[in-house]
Amino acid sequence: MTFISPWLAVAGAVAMALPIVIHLFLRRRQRPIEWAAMELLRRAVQQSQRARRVERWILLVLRCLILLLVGLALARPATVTALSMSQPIALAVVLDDSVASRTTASPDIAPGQTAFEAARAACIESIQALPSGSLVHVLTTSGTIEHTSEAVQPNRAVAILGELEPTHEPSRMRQAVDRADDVLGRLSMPGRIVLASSFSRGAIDTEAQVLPATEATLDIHDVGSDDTGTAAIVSMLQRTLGPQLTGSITVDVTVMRPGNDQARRSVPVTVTDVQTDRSATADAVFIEGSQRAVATATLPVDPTAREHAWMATIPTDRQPADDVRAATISTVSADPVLILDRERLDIDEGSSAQWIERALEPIAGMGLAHQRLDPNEVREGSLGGATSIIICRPELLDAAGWAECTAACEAGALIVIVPPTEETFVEWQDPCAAMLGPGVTIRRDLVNHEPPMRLRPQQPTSPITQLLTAELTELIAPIEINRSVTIDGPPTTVSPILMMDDGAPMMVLSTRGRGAMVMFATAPVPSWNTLATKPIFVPLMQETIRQGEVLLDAGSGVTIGSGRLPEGTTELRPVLGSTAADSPLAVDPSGQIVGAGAKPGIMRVVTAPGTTSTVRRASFIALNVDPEACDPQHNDAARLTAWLNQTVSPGVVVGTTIRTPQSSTSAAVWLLTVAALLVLAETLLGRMFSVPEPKAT
Amino acid sequence: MSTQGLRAEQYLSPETLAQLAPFELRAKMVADGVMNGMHQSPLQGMAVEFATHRQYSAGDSVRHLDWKVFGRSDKLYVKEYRQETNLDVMILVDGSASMSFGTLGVKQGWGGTDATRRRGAWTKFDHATASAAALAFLCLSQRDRVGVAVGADGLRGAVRKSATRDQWRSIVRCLSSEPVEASFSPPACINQLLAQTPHRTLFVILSDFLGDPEGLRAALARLRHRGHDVMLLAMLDHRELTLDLDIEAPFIGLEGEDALDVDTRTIRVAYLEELQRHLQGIDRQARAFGYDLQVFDTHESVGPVLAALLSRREGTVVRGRR
Repeated sequence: MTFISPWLAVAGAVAMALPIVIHLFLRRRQRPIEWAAMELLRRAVQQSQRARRVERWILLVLRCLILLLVGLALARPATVTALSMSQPIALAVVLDDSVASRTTASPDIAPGQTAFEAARAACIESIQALPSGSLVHVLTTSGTIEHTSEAVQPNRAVAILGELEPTHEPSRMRQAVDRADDVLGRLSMPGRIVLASSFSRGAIDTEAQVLPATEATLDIHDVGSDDTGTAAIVSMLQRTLGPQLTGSITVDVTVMRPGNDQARRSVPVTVTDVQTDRSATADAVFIEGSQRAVATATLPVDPTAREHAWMATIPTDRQPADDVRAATISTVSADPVLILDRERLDIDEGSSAQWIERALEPIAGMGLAHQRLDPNEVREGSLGGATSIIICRPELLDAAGWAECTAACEAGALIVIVPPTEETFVEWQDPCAAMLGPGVTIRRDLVNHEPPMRLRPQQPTSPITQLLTAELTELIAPIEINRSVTIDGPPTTVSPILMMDDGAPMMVLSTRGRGAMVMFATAPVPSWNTLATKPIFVPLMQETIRQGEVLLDAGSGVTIGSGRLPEGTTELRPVLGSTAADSPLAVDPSGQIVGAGAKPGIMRVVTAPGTTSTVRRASFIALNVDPEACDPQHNDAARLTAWLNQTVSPGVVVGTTIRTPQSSTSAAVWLLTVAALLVLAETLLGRMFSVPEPKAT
Repeated sequence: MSTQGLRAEQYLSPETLAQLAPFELRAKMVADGVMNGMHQSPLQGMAVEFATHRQYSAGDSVRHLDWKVFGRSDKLYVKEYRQETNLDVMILVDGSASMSFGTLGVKQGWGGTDATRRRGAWTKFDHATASAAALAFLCLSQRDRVGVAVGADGLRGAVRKSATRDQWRSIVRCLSSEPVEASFSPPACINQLLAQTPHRTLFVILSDFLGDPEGLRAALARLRHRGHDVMLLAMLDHRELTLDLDIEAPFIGLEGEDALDVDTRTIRVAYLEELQRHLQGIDRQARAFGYDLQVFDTHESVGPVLAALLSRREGTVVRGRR
């Protein structure tokens, strides 16, 4: 016999000690009393006290027993008995369908099967072994936990199980078992819970996750997991230039494998365009002793689409750790690039804005849309929430214009600044330097390079030029710079994108608020340099806009449950064609996704307008399942047994079955009856032993 | 004003005096006083109060013949008169350690010692001295000679009998002592007092009488043998009389007895039976010698109990004369 609430039994035992403690305490606390009639007292004691003392001990024992029995009765005495297989029972099958269940089951238990398939088979086997008349509830550890609103016939339960697929969500095993206990508690039949899982570290955390104490017998089916051959995607990189130009995209997917796997191995990687659902597969080949491999896949894309997102998976080895999906982002804002310039007649060489417009849209209708705005007209709200702004005539911006541009940058816009080509006495350097960041200065004197300055062959690594890296040396070689401004600034504020041969920066990058700024030291006009006339200028301007926007708020991965969304995010909208959630996810002001059930996938991040700007951005973001939730490493037997013993202490672990005690009402009634009899006996004996009222002397 | 004076005044509680005023302390036996008083003297014929007629016998003085009776009945009868004298009273107060027991708060205007006032308890000794003072005051107001003694294993202090004006203060000074760490030995104290008492005297013994009854019996026998009258006033605390304690604790004796673990709830009945038996034994002894025993509850006033005792004795004396 055991107890459903053993602590109440302990409380009863402790309560039993109370009368004794009180008795001893009071006895010890009494101070000696002075008395004159000692001889009379001595004679009275000799006459009666000994008998009284025995009587009082009898009463004390009775009182202690009463308290103990009441405590035991309240502790719900229970018996641990094996369920009879001839009587119908209520069965709740709890199937682990979490992302961890995608792991390969132990080859010793279920060769060639995933943990999910093996666990499902174990559940079905348990259902088929039920005696007739039994009822079944189907529950899973993730997603929709309850799959049956009420108990169903066994054959129906088998059909439901057959339709289930593993999810991409973490395991909520405790809640599932708790729920199973609840639904069984509503039925008057003996209850049994079958829990089938790989019990890998992704399925349960033996350190933190504990199973609730159930009143039903808990039957554990451990299908094991096989964590060999795991490889995981760690990054994706778009190799070629904008898809709008080429009609295709090439992506490098970097894959890593554990250090204990040193053999030559090939891992297939599938890259899918989440917009069109087109996919391409490439192999990442690990050479001996290498832990890193790269798979390069090329996909055709729709050149007219303004937004692109790709997802990479390793579908073949069925390890959930591989299934962590990375997404790379290639996004073009729906808003046109805003160019701040004033129309003027320049018959010689064209203005900076004209050269830039030509680079942004080399073929009419293909490339980046753009529109012009007179710098003098920049006022509050006039930027219209533009995400990319190119300032070609900074000398024409007044204080209000600079303030508006600064606010737009802080709200998340990309600002590109080009020095004015006109000789001007208007002060533009200082507000421009102030906008770039603290410690930045722009010298007022123009530097005329004689002979022309070239660019340094080895350029620094910059996110703006990352896709040009392979051809960069070749592309910059013909560039000659005749005139430039000098930008000085601490490396913590501005980082060089391109550098001249003398070490002076030709392009710098800095960030401000949620936005970024790119500053050219030389204007893209022929009198200043040959940049605008060379092939690099088109991809350089395209990449400056694209990568600048990516840099701002796209491409950062967020992990469900532990990820941090960009500041100001109000909503996540699923992208069509991905495995994203069906409905948008709201995000609270603290950056947490509201409500449970956030699924992995590619989502569009929607941010609210800032307080200082009307900029409203939309970008893509990858929501990946918690990598820890798909840890395929199996909990070893000792660890699992320790966990079972720790989590369901009232139960008895028999092999992989926890037999939980069945509440025994009759035992409780029996204990209470005995306690009542003892109360009666105590009353009678107390009256019998009570000291009679003394007669008047 | 002296301290002794103050202390003497403390015993003159108006309440007590008012309660005792209607009564007189009467000797049951024939007093052997030296002055005229209210008590019966062994000497007859000299007084004015007619006692009885007696048939004339040869040798009687013809002066006491009742000629009126002879004239009516022609028989010779002699008139006898009762001479009344004053009473000698000796009050012995038990000053042993057991008398320092008390469970009542100090009574105002009833005397008491400094020690008991410090302890804040009205002890049996306080009650005894208050009763003794009241009796002494009564005696002095009757112009009887009264003396007091405080004793334990022997006399610890005594004031010779006198009816003078200063006697009251001497008595109070003697009673203002405190109990000593010794047991009460009635034979020892009585022997010492008898050595100083040539005349018939009323002995008033105030004690808890919790000691050996045999010693008391020997002392009473001695007093009876000498023809003295005795009043035994048993001073017992209310708690001693009722044992109204619900406690289990070690009890320690005031006169050096060993400690005793007692649960009062379990022994109360037996204790009260023992107490009753003990008091009945003392009462039986007193009656055997023709003496009185009165039990005093120290939680009650001195006056009513003392008045009841005096009233009872007065009735007994009057009946005896008839």
